[in-house]
Amino acid sequence: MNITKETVKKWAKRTGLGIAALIVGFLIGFSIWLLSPLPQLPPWKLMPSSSFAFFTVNLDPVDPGISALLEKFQESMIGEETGRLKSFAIKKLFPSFFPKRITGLISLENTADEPRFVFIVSMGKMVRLMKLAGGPLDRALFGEKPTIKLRVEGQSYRSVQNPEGGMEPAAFTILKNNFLLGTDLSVLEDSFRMYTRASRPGVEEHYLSGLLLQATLQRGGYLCADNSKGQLSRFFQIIQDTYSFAAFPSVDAVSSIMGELHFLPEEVEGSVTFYCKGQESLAEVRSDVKFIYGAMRRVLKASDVDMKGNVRIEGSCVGFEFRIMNLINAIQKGDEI
Amino acid sequence: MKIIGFLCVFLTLFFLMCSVYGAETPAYIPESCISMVTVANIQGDPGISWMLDAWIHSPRQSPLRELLKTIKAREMSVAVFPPKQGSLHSLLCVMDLGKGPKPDKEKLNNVILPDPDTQIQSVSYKGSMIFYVQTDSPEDFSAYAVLQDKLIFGSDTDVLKKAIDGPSVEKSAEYQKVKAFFPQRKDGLLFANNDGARFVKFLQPLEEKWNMTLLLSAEYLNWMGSSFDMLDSNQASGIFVFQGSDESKIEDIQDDAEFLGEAFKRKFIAEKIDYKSTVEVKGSAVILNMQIEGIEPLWKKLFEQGILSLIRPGSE
Repeated sequence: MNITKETVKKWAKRTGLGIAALIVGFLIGFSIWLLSPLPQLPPWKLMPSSSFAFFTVNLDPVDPGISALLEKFQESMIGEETGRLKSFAIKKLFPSFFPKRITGLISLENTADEPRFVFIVSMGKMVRLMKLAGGPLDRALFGEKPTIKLRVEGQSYRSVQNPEGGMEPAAFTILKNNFLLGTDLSVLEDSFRMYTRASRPGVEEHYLSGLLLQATLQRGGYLCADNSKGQLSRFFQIIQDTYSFAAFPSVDAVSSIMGELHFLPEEVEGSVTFYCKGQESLAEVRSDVKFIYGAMRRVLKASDVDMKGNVRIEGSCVGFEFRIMNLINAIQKGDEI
Repeated sequence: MKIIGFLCVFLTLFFLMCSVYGAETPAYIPESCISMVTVANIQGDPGISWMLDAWIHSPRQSPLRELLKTIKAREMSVAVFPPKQGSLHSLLCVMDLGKGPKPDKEKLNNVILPDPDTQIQSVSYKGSMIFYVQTDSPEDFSAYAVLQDKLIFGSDTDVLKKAIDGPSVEKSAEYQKVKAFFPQRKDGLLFANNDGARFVKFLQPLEEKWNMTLLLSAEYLNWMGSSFDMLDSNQASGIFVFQGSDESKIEDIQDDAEFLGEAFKRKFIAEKIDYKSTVEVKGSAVILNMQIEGIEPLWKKLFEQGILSLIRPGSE
């Protein structure tokens, strides 16, 4: 058979065109998959059973404080030696990967001797890319610990093979626009069951998830801890036994804690109210809150962040108001807080 | 007769003063130290003698504890010095042996030997023999010398040479102020010198390790002193003094003293120990008074962990 130069050129051209068409097709398909509408799942629907506390922080750049924080964070990532392409990626693509909201949920079963944590990172469509991250994501979250993939009740999870317990992250899953990281697999399964309504929340959980729903509708950060069933007291008792240090000895006198945080362009301000069961232990609660404020000040100071606050008794509550300054400078310097 | 009577009374008073104000061991602590603890009347005081006995016989045995079983130290000073580049803070320990039995040479060597195969070397320095081992990173001590009735251990030979050379911490104006602040010496005296911000620098590695600024007012402090009394194995009392350099910063110093008192309280609550403290301001000084009851189990726990690891940042 005589293969002429012309024939080879034709084949090459056709093959090249074919590959180019495939790449273009793949990119179009990938973009459709990546950018197609993603149903939003609010964090309050993912509250595991026996939850007694949550915090949630809205990181949407619509908030001017968050926008300033994000800009400074981007600036801190771009150095003099950063290339143009990398700088462009940080400026233009990074905001798409920035979470819209972070929520933390703490639960404690009646018979358990360890609290369970779930961190929910609510993202945009880019959460889909995390499904493709595979090994690098495992290593970033769990280090060199071996992991396994599990499918339970139709939902996929990735978990550390032999979790050591404690407060270290041990499993994760992706649910619609949320990335869920838990201290054990069971707490993530619990969250999933609450979402699918395979489990029914109790009255108190309904109440707490209602508060989380309200909190997620607003800007800033919110904190809530309920001690009506004594879970908050047990939580501090576990911390005391673990670290041989009583961080909050008067916690039994507290019925609930509510707090809020507002991001301003130059600083962060917030307040926490400790609702007490009666008047008799107010002085002790005030002393504990003052100590916690002192500890926070000293921890922040180690990262060159200043905090100023005021603790006072109001009726049967102890109020704590604070301002955090230089937070942006610390982020620019790349300090860990 | 009157003269003999006067001499008897004078001598009695002098020896009493010596036992209370003894403090002979700081004479061998160089002025460059960051902090120093002196424990006096070790054999005579019920609280201190119990502590020493509990430390010596705690389960975590060491050659130093073996040595202390055979000697009768009357007084002891332990001092911390700035670290050499890339190493831990240097330590110096001076013991006053009085007229008690001389220490056994083998037991002394064991304290500095990292392993039995290491060769003990010696060097003569200003008429004193220094025994040492060559090691890059001594666990606690790697050199010792016996000067009359004083036994001195050091992290290295340099710190021992400084102890022999002087000048002693007793010559420092700050130490004199601490001594003047506590005219009635109790069982122990702690002195932390912040001259040239040396105490601030000492705290820095601890702060980095714990990600926490321990004293917000550290830079405004001239010195920190503490006098403490072990009444018995279970009860202790102490006074901490934070001497500020400037009265305008007194609120910050007071805040630190209160935080420290509250931190102690929370530690003791977790250990089921009774603790009471008060904070008062006197001029540019802030004074923290503490009373503790039921401390025996905590001492035992501390001795099992290794007490030197608490004062030497970076060591485990």
